[in-house]
Amino acid sequence: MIPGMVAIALVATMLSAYAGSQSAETPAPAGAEETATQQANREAFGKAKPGPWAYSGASGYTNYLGGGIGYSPEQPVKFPHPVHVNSLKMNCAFCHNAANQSPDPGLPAVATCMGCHTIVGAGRPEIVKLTEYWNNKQPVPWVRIHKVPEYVHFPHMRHVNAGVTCQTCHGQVNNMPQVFMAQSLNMGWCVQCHVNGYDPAEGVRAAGYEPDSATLALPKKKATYDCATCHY
Amino acid sequence: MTVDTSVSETGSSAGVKRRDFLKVLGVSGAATAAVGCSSGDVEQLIPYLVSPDQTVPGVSNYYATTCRECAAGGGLLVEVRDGRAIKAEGNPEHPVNRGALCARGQSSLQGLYNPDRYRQPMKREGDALVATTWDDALQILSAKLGEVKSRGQGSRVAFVNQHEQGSFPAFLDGVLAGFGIAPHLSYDAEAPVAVLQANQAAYGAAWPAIDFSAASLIVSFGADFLDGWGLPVPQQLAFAEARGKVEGAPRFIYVGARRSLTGLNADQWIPAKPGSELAIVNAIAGKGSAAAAAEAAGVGVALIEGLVAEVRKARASALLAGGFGQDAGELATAVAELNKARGNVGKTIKPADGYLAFEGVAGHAEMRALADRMNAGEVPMLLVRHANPAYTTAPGVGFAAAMAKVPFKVSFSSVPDETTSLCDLILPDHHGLESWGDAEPVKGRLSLQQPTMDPVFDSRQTADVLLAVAKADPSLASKYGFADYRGYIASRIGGNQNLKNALPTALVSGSAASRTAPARTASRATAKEQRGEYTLITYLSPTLGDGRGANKPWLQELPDPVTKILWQTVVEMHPETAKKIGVADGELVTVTTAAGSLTAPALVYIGLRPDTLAVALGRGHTAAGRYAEAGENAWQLLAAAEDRAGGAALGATKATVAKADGKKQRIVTTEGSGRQHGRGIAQAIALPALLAGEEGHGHHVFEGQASTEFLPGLRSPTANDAQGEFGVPNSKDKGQYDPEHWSGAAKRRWAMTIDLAKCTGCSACVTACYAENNIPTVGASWQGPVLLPDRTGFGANITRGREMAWIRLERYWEIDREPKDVVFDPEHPDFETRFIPMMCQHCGNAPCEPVCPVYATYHAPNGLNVQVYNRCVGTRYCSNNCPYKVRYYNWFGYGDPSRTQYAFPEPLHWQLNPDVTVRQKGIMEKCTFCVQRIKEAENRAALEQRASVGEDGVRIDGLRPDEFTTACAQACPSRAIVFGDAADDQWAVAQWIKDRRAYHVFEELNTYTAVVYLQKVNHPAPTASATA
Repeated sequence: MIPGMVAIALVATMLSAYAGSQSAETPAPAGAEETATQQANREAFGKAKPGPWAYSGASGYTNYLGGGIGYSPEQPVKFPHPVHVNSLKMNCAFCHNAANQSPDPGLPAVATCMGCHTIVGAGRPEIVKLTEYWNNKQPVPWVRIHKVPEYVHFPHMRHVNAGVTCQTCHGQVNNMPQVFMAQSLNMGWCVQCHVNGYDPAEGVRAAGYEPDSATLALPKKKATYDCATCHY
Repeated sequence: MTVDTSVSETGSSAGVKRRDFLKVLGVSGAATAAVGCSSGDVEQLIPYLVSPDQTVPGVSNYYATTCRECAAGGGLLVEVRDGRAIKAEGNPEHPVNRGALCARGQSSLQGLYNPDRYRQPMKREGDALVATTWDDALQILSAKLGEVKSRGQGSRVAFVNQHEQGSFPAFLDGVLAGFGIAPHLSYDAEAPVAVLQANQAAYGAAWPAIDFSAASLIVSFGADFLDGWGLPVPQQLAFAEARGKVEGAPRFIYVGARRSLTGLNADQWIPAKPGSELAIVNAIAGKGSAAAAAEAAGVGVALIEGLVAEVRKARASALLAGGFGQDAGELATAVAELNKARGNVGKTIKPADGYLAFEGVAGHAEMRALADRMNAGEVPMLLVRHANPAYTTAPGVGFAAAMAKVPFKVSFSSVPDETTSLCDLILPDHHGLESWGDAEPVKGRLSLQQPTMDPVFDSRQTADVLLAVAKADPSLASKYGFADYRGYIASRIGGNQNLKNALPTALVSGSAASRTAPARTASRATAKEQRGEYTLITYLSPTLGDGRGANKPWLQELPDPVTKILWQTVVEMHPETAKKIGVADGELVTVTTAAGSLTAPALVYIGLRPDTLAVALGRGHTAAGRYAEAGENAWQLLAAAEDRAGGAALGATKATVAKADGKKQRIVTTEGSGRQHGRGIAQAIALPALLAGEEGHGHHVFEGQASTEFLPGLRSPTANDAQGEFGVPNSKDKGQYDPEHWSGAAKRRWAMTIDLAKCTGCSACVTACYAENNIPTVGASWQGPVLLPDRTGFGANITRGREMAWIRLERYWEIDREPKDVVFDPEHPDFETRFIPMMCQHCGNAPCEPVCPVYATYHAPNGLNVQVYNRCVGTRYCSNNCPYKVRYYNWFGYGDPSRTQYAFPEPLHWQLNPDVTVRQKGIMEKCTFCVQRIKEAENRAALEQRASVGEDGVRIDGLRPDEFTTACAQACPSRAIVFGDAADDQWAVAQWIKDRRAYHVFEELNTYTAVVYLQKVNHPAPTASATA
């Protein structure tokens, strides 16, 4: 088969991860400004004691980018996940559309933002910033928060398609006016699931919902854990 | 995936426009750090401005296009990830290369990302070339062409293009005609012009296909069909296929003064003196006596008589003429006549299936005539594109000096070279992987060329530049009804829709625009008396060609398949010659010819007549970029420049050689010993013995120890067996090593077979591995130890054994003494050579594993011997304990842009495979069996929902047999490497490991390797086997 100009990308299963679109009943603060409660919440994350699994020395507290749990750099455009996910019920995969088909989750192109924001909220300060980037034909230089080291290969689609909720690793981004790191993403943290299995009900709870009876009945998902699963 | 793009937000990007960079970047992180700890760095995630269609970030696209690295016009499938070409592979459906690709084709990527490429147009101001804009450059070009036209000087303007097939030559001539300029010269220093002309006259086809499978005997008279003579890849495919038959495979005799790579693959070598080949052909044809031929050739008469008898008895033979003597044309004609007389034409030599690669090629004589015209002041303007005649012609031509007499010189080359650096205006062309075009490699089949990515630099395709210039001239504009060259290509195959439909395979029926036949220039093959007791053979380098590959570090670091020399020029001489002039390996000698002299270290080579010397062409550039400076330029020795057909006579120069001032240089080689010392690494069996069912090798039996007898197939079909047998047999928890484990991890046993009957030693696998696995090249002069300045220079790291090639091509002489002690016996000059690719054997019982103090190397349940980079602390115990010496240590930060040893200067690092870690300083690395490809295949199977859970609760990964392979196996133009699952009979490898020729290297060490070699098969002369 010669794919030619057609990508090898294959038809993937629908994103099964929980996303904010199911959270009609969960009220979430809208707007880009962080409330005092949220700030306290974020700082509490930063001080969180590492779990018993974080045995690999200092890396339990700081991540590869030097940030660690609670790392929350200011972004060039204050993109409010809560508004988009909770209020507007957009699925994570609407913007991060490669997460279920590629190792790389994908970041929305500026054009995707402008698809709505040419009209929606055109006069607001953050939208003005966004529009400036668009007009200057410049991409938005988002500050990276989550990164695993060079020698780790994390295929997003294997996790997403196995039903791991986005929030399991990224925290409740749908409730973060400014995204911060919720988990250490160090190896000790990873192998919790790879060795002990991933409990779908826990994943649902991590996303902020109560699992239904069907989810509670699901067995733990297991994964291989030899070094070459991720390190090559 | 974590992509190391390593372009800093704040740092300068040395000429890559930030916007261009962003265009291709996608969502990969723009990291300020490459590898290692980087705490505190702020890293950015750069999104697309607009997502390109049909792309998913982190998933590769593949574009089919045409290779432009040599005249063959092979097909490529270029892997493109997030807008960047990262790997070039052969197009399986292409009629020329059928999925295989040589080292040079794969290195096209290093031309695309060459750090020395012109980044924008340049113009001369005084002595210097300064950057300018396209508007300015085009204006200058238009003005100059207009001037030429208005003065009526067009017929005297010369355009020299690097020879290529397809429609571009005709298109170019059309544009040139508009300005009154004569058709261009299509120069290729590698083209065997004399053979082409003789073939055309004799067969009616310049380059017939050679069906080695139909032959029972191949005789090559200096025709190096595996290393540069004609179209190496299709010829190698056909040759390896024929030899791989084992029974009924053709016997191969090589006649020539120097055993090239082709010669080393022969069953017999007849070291005829240069220029005596014709006498031998005449003896076979009955036009002369064997005794006279033997006398002329300087070999025993029995050899010639045997050859004559074999050819006359052969059921079907393929006789091939090459040679770079002055009588190359006469030789080729005589051989063609002999082929006709023996009834080989249509059987083994197939003119009807010929290749059109060299249609319209110009040779050395045309360049010499052009230089003469330039010297006479007759040329008002010279235009050159990719060709480099100032380097690839004999010094007697004086091309560079003649260029000074030309008032205005324009170059369209995209990389600097000796010719372009003398030009006044440079309009850099797109690289072939950024361009539109076509080629007609075989009659009636068009191979299309399409851009695989956005241009790396501010270059423009020459065809579009010419179009713009033509359209700017009101009298010419009406001739061009298409917007750009893409439009022209589309119009040739019936419109845009047809083009779109054809692009997935880039193959379509049709023919290229026909070009005007070039006017031939009479040869000036001089009979001038040359002095010197040696004949000098300056041969085209199998890796660098005529020198065009010299600025690609992959090719510089690829050991010459014959001499195993890299980054260096050596003077090859027979051991007897070395003794005579009193030198040993590495001592400097000076070779002097009527044209010039060259001083380089001597290297003893047993495959050379004592009355000849040999120096490889291609190195020692003065203006072709940072890597190309390595070595010496052998073109400057060429005295008898032309054969009587007008081609370059590379083997007709007389020379003297003398010891230079007693100084010595380390030989830059990857060879440890040229001999096996009885270790049985590369094994061979003679065909009669194989047919008689004899064992090709014995095995040792040690009392009280397990038998090391080779069992068909792999001794340990799953890793669990290996662990179980040698580990703790009654361990309670075998974990993932248990075949019953839910993960199914132990179900597969990844393995590889390498058929030494097919392997020719071409080394394409080595470059494929460099490309796939981000292997750094370490031989550049600035990559040595900084604190030891006397240890620097090109190849300094190599001389200390620090090359990083995960797969290497071992070449062993089967001789009973050290090469330096070999004497030349004209009656029995022959010796056997064996090639064997050597990489990590993924031992079931690996010596490297137990000695690692930090568990950085371990055995995966699926049989892989895994190296975990982040665990490795660099003790190197594993390398010390490896019997195969296939582990490589990162002595420097080759992956760290802040270090002088950085191996991927921008934008070379754009080629890095995002699926493979760029290793850091201080850790060990080795062949992984392309674990990233295994993972990719598993991920694909999971995405396609092929993965499932069996009735026993064990997971099934859903891989289809042979659905993927390793990079080396993919590239191999011999199809000698097969990779797959040895535990599953549906995979091809599971059948090959049961072959009667199968063996493990060092099986007496009980390593239970996962790489299984199939013995080479020798085809002795019929008489010899009768007496044996």
